[in-house]
Amino acid sequence: MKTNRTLKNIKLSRCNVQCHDDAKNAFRHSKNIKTYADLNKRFGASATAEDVEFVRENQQINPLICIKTRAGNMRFFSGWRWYQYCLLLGVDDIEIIEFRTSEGINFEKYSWQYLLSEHVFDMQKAESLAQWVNLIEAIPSSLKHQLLSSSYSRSSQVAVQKMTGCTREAARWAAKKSAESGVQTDSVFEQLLR
Amino acid sequence: MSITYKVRQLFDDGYSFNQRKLIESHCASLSYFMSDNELFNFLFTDDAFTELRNKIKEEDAKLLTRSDLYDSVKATKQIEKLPFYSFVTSISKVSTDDFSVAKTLQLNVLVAAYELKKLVGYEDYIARALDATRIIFTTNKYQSVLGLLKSHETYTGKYFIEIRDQCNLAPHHLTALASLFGKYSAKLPSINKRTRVVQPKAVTPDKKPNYTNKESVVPFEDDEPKYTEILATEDIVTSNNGDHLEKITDEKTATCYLEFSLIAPDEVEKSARLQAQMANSIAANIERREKSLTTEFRFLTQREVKILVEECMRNIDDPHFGLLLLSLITGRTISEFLGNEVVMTKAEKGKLSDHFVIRYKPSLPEYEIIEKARTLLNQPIGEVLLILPQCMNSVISNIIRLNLAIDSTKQAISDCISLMNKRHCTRFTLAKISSVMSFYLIKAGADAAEIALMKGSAVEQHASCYYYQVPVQKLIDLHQGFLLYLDSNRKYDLSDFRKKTDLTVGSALQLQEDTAKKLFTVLYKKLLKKRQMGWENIELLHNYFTVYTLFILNLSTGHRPVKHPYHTIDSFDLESSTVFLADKESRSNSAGRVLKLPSLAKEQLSHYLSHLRHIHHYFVQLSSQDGKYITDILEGVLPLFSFIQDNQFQTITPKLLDDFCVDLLPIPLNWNRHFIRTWLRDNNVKPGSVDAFMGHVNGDGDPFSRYSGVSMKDLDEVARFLNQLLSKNLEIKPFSSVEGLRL
Repeated sequence: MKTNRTLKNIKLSRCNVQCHDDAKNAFRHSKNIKTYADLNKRFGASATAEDVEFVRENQQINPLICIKTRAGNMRFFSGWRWYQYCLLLGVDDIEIIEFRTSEGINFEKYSWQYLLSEHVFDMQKAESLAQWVNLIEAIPSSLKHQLLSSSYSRSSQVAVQKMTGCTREAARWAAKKSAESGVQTDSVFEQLLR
Repeated sequence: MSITYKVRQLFDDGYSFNQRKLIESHCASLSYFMSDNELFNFLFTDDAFTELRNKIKEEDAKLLTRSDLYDSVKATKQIEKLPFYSFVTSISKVSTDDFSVAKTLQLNVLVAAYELKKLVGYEDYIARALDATRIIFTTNKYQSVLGLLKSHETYTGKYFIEIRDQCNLAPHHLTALASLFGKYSAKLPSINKRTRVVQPKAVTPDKKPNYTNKESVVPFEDDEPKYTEILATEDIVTSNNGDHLEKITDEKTATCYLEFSLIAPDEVEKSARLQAQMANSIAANIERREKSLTTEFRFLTQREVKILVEECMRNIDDPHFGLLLLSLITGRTISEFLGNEVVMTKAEKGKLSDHFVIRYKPSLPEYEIIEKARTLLNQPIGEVLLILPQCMNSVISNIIRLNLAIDSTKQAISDCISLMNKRHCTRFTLAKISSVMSFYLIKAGADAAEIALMKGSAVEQHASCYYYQVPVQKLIDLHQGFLLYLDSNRKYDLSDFRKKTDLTVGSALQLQEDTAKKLFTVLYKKLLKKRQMGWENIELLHNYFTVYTLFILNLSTGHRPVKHPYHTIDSFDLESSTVFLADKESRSNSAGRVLKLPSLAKEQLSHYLSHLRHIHHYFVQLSSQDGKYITDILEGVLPLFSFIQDNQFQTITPKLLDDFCVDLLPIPLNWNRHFIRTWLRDNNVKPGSVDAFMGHVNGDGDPFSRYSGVSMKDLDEVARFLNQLLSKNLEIKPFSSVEGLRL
């Protein structure tokens, strides 16, 4: 695997970089994870030149992991955290690790693995257990065993309990809260008729 | 520019080299023999005469006296072919005594012709003057005219007319000279001939030419006064820019007239004056239209109405006068009554048992709506009621009983009218009498739909009737007001109905105000929930957000449910809060209208645009195609509103929206038009403004046509009313997706 990748610097304006199809579910899920730091606000409209430099440097030491599909076309499947802020702040030069061939690469596994490793430490305290439950439920069952390893359990509550060391009650409460948010409500029309 | 070039430029081609040289010599000689004080108040623009004097040789000047030149032209019958040459050489036929005057005349004709030649449209004047001069010079009996001319006189049109009146000789020729000098002596013309360069350059439909005032394309000589004229940037008047040119001309007439009056000869002034008159007449026409509400010639005067009512009431037992009064107070024609098209009934019991009533149920469309949804609508329950005064009960009964024959009764009624007209010097006609109610209602602020419903005629032809649910009480009040107007002294108690009713008539697609309010509340909560659910639900959030924004905009503009509603972002001007709507697909863009946006709608639209920018950041990471789609929306390349279905953007179509609304509000998509049309009239917004807002043509014509009295200020008022409806009555809150969705 070491021989299959290269560290490169690319210009976003000259390349078409987008999410790999197999990594899209993990990418979408990552968008819903609430972290302590709301970098969204920090890098919003009031970003300074220092912020831009901060993002650029962080991205350089946390490169985007891509596979080249054809000339100028990259599909990323891992390492997207700082990349998205580069887009937001208009940073054109980014660092990528480019895989030359897709042989032997499970893109889906890499994407979920990235998500698990990225968010172990920084989920919001108030909602972290519920978010953990959501995350573990979202991981495809075929990958769960590999990714969770010793913490693996069929029940997401137990898996969360093992990973975080929380009590059984807390994990159950988090699972309940998670389930509530997904409850389907009546249609608008039904509500109008009431 | 040399004098030689000028002379060559002067008159027609067809001369041989020698002849042209001769003409040039003649012109030069004329100027040579002249002294400064022999020239009246003209000046060649570039000291041409000084130049000539310096160049001319004395022997050349003698050419003037060679009579054989003219003779040879005459002998070869070339006078008609070479009019200018003949004019120049004809001076040799003048007797020695008159030679000095003839020189002056010829030179002044030459100069006047030279200057007028620069303008278009004076060719005939010049040709006639040249001929006249030649004929005077060469005809013995006319040469005495030269004796009346003075060498040092300033030649004007008036001067030659005086000469003509004095001598009774060569009147036509003197008139020709008078015309030439009349045109010239007004002032030295300084307008260059318009030389348009025709270029086969088509105007593209989307690129409107710029018609702002610009300098003439004709270059001016340095010492000539410059002036500004209105010319289109594009030289060719095509069907694309014709309207705009016409419009600009319309607007600029007064200015043109002012400019021309200072510098232009009579003909041009006259033309400009005519244009100004036309503009004035158009302005007067507009004013008349405005005043037509009260001074329409078919409208009987207050005195006439009073006389008519008195006459009818005095003879109330006579069915003919009864019919006349019925026609007056119901706005129906006599023929409608006699042909039994109007049914007058009297209930045996209930609120209306004391009065004869004309009942009328307008034939308006029914809508296919699921039963559950019908409970959310206000159904029209009732019919139009025209309540006739109690004092007419007996005469109405008589009319019904007698079943009068149409022709003989109409004849008898016409006789009654003639008698009244003779007796009171009035101008009653059947048509005028039946029109009184309509004019009163317009004056009272009723709109086209209300009048059509009350008159019961051609309801289907009034688009506004389809969208308006009118309380029957409003129609009754309007009618009672009219009866009070007829009986202002309350002598006959015509306005005698005091009871109230809750009935309604008109549109069958009236969403209840509470339901509309609830709809937006529920949608808002739904959006909040979808926003909490984050990016995994972005498609649903986007779709609901789009519908929420569309509903608010639709309630703010009365937009019809069409493919690609509001077209692109370019339809909106958020600076001036206006939107251009072209939602009548069958009538092309020319049927579009510009409306003001309520501030709440503008705010929601801004949120929608921010939402698009926000999700662009997300979608561009997933797929560059989706990212480009959103960029194109924001740049006005693609339609503004779209749904996301199965990971694909789809522009809004009525079918797509209808499918989405099955779980939302399963009623026809144009419910918004019915809702706001009725709401605006219930809140007494001016009828003209409402029609303009809805894009309806009313009795005064298309609201945005040239002579329309509706202005942007009226629409501003409508926007303010609608903002009140949205923010206070329906309690709609603008929704933003950006605050809740973290990137």
